[in-house]
Amino acid sequence: MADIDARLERGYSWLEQGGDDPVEALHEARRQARRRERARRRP
Amino acid sequence: MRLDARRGGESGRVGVLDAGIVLIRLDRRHAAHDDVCRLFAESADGRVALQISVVNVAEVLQHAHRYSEATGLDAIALLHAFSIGVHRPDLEVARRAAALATWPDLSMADRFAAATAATVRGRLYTTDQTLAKTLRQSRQPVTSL
Repeated sequence: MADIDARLERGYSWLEQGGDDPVEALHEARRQARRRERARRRP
Repeated sequence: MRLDARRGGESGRVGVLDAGIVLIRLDRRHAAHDDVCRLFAESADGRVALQISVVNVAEVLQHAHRYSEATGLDAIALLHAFSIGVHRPDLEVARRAAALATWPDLSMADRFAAATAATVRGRLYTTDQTLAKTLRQSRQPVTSL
């Protein structure tokens, strides 16, 4: 667990410095999937 | 993998994680980070039995790919460290996910998260407001973070 904690700490800094937002990226991917699903269902 | 509700301690609490919850654990900038840390700690202590569908694990791996390369932290190792099980869908889950196609505006990944929660009779923890709203309307237990 100490190794995991150390990598999580490194990850916090990496995200804060780099600007990646994995949660928002997930939500955007799902929005796109829903748009595709709606288009598929359209008659 | 079948969920053993006894793992949830005396409370028998059973939960299913959506992908966004795992991603929040990686990012302390998120408002719900502390809540998610507490939930993961409860899982590690055996106070709640948490699982995540392998379908949603794929989403985690996809969106944490650059993070994992930069930090060396594999999302699967993170799940194991906090005693979070990976639920592998069987035909029952597949049938439930297919049946949920009648719900408007849910992606396949949404439906696997919801179907897994229904199958293991657990509360779904999600960051996805559309999915949370749909589950509330169908009276399924859900926590939106």
